[in-house]
Amino acid sequence: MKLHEEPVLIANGITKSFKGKCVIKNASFSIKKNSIVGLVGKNGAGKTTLMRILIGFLKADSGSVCIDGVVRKNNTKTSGIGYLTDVPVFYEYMTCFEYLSMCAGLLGIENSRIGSEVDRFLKLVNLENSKDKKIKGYSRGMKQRLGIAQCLIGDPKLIICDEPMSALDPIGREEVADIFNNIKQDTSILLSTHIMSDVEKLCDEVIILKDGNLTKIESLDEVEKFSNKSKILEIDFTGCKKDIIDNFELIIKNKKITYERIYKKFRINNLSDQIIADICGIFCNANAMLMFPRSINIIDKEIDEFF
Amino acid sequence: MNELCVLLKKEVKEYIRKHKILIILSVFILIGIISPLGTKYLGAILQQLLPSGYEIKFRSPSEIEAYFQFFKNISQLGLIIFIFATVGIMSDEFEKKTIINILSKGINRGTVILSKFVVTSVIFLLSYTVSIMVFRYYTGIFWGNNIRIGVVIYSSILIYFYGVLNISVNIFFGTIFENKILTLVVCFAFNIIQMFLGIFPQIARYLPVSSLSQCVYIVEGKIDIYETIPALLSTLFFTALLLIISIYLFNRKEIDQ
Repeated sequence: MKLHEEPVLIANGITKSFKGKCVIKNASFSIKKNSIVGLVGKNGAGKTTLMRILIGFLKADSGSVCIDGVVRKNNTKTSGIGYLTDVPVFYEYMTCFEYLSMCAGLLGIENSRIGSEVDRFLKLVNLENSKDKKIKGYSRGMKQRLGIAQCLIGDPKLIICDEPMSALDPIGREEVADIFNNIKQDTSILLSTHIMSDVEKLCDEVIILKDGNLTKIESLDEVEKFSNKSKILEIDFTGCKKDIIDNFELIIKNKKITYERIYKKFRINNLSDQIIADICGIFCNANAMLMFPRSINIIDKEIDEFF
Repeated sequence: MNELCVLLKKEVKEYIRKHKILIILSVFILIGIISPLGTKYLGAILQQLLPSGYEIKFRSPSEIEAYFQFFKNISQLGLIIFIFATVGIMSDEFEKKTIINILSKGINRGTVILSKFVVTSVIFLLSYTVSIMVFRYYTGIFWGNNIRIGVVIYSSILIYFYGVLNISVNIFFGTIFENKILTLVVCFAFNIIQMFLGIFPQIARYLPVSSLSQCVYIVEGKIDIYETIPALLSTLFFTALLLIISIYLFNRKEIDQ
């Protein structure tokens, strides 16, 4: 990190307990400008708690948060940060234009500029055609995009997004990923996710929250390695003869590939280039052994499985 | 200041778009109509309901009886409908989580409470004013408006500030409980408990609920204005206190939803 590139957020020694149970232990990390940082951890790890401490909705038991060089006291104004909850909720009697205009007004944007600013963000999130439609009639994806627009109003230096893509269909997730990549030049993003493919696609760095402890992965290579660890190669031999399946199992045992067999499916964890090359090699010779599986897929591990 | 203006506009929009203002105005206008009409024509209505051959003799109802009916309807039906229509002004924000995006903008939290209080109070004032204007129109026709306007205005002030106290109770408990049903129950309990405490004359004169009966006595000429001062001051004091505590609690509230 170059000296003149001061991080947009520095969290130092954040600790938080609920009813005697320590959820976050002495978490210290920073978020660089113009970066996308993934926050991963299994359900209940404390990701949302950490985010709410950063935004100012919860008080940390100890520690400090410094945003753009200014140390923030607990529960004071959180200007400079946009926030997107996992299920964004709006005043459904308003149109998106009215809602964003209200947000812009609350952020102190001059009345004369509000219209153009709102139009800019509606265009960014592809809602300009729905600007006069009441939010009540919006789909889940539209509400998520509106949520992104409302957290970007005022051009914050950092936006914090809690599971921004988890409840979306693949097309919706692509749209949101595109938006994040577009805004990255102007805004840093901290997003929590339990979808490992989102980490791989979007994140420059990863923060892992496990048992209250925080680890940060900073290099792109390490992020890729981390992402690969979260993938499983699943080979489905449903409908194939038993001897073919047993033959396959013998081959991968000989190659010392670690696997898990669930009836006629094989799952291979901790993928590496070598393992993928070995599997490809097996099936390239499949003609001779009549080894044709029903399907071969690379899937993400369930987040709880991964941790 | 700008935050307050934005939130005031938002609250007004909510009252209009959710038809709350229509409901409240309709009920209050109805009260303004049925109070004098009911008083004036009660005898004739009852006569119609009797089997033929029966007759009831009524003395002519007076203007004071019409006021009695009006204040009773406003303080019972009117206030009940008003509480029902406005009970979610604070608790709904928490229950539906709509407050999160607003607070994430880094605004002064007290502004949220003030905006809700101001708009709801203004709507109550507007509704009550329309109601009493409608009422006075009919009392003018039937009885000639012999009650002095100053007395009517002062009685109205007593009722109005009691309504405003209920708004601050609503906001206070909505902030604490974050639940509409609980807030509603406690708002009603707040009124009922006062009525029970009103049994004791030493306490009754200081209870805000006493304003609801004092407004009628003023019109009847049974009490002087100065006798209503303790209840009125108590009403204003508790209104301010509950608002201040609400703002204090909301400022320190952790949002964990």
